[in-house]
Amino acid sequence: MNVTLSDAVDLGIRLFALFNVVALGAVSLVWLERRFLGRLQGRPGPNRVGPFGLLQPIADAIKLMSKEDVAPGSSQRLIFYAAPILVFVPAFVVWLTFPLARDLVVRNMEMGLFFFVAISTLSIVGLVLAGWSSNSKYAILGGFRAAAQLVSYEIPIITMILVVAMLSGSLDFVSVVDAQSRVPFILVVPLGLVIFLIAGLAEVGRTPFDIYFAESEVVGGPFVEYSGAHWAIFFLAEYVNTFVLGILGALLFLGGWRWPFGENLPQLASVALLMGKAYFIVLVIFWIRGTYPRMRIDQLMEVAWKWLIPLSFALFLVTAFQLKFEWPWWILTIMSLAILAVPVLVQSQKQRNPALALAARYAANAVVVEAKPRPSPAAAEDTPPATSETAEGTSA
Amino acid sequence: MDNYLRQYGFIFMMTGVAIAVPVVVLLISFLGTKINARPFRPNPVKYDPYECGMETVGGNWERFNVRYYRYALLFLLFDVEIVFLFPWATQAGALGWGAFFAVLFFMVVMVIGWAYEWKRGGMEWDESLPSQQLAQEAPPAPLAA
Repeated sequence: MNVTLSDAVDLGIRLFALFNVVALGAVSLVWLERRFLGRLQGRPGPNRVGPFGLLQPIADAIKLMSKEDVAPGSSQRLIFYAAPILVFVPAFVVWLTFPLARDLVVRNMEMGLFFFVAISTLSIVGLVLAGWSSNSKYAILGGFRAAAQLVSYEIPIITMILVVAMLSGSLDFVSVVDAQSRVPFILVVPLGLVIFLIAGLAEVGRTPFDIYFAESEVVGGPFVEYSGAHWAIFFLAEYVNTFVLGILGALLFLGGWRWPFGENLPQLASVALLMGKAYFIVLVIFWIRGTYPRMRIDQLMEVAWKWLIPLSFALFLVTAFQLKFEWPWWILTIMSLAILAVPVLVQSQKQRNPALALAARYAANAVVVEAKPRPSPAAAEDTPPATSETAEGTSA
Repeated sequence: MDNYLRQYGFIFMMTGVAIAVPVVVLLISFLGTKINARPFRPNPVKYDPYECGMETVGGNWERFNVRYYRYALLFLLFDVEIVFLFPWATQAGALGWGAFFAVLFFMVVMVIGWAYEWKRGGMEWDESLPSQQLAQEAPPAPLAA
């Protein structure tokens, strides 16, 4: 591989530009979240530092960097100080392959989607190490919770990326966007965006899913012992991850820079279009934060394993059939909406009649209770027929 | 090969930049202590791990509930299985019926495993549910004829 000087200069410019985009995006999100949350809660939000409080993130950064930075005396110092960097690195490295317009990308990869999946998962390691090395009970509990939560929601998100790869026939972000020039994937698989957004919220730990650093339970989780600049790195990584979620949603489901204006957009306008879509998703995320209370951890795991994973598998299979039999795309829309109706109907039934949910749960337990005490084949014959019917009916 | 290196060699350079950014921030913050811009006055209480204002009771690296590891194992299974689908997914329409039915069979096996895990209570966070207790205490019953 011959790396010439011009190559190096080119790479340097690209990395510098990318760094600015990421930094500006994260900083703008800090401001946007506080302002928007303020509006949602009927208060002005930060408005003293600079016009409209625009300089507030800079003031925050200066404050955090000039704070005392202590680690607990019993912590594992090396891992404790390395953990924030380990969380930040994956959040930043995934930007390598995100195109902001057709030719505006640091390095377009043929396996871009796969690269994102592989790299973004690594931040779990940083969170677990942060919790473990703090040598604090709350921190280690938060670290384990982070592992369980991020790991569970990784599966639906990977499956949704798989569905997008099937629809576009490529793992390359530019081809994915090109495939949406006529119809964005939000119209083809609306269920896909729903699952992607829910799982993505859990991946970045935004509010309905901020279990692993829940202030009221584990007082900040893995971050409880961190202060000053080290805590600021975690904070920065969280906002970079939120921005990643916005960009990814815009690229994979909202048609990136192509839909609805097609190919003939000037480069600056297409970047603006993509950013507009990304900020729209980010605003939806903040809106959800201002609206919903935090879930419990058992509810969290239930949503992942009993709802999102089967729904995403169903969407995967439906997409496979649509591609194989070459049905028109709107059939997939109808089918994915039909799949989406299942959890909505079931949950609304449960809401309307909580006793029904409880009865279903007891029925499921009753099967096990009936099935257990069966010492000999002779005793099995004595089992009343009604019970065995229930057991068969439920297990089938 | 050259193209391959050009595509993926960038990952290492990018990782270097990604490490440099937080390190520079931490370094600037650390240098702040040298010019008295950042206080550094530790005392034994500050060095204690957080425990709601009390002194820590017992060790901090306690034994942990096994369910965290169980979810990690489940994730490993499903994740590896989904990764196997990626090569097929990009050519889903073009590959033949053999590949289609292979993937269909693969998904069926996966869903059976998932349903079995649910049935055995592997997806229950709250292990105090009666079904879980019974499942743990008694050996698995023979399948009903």
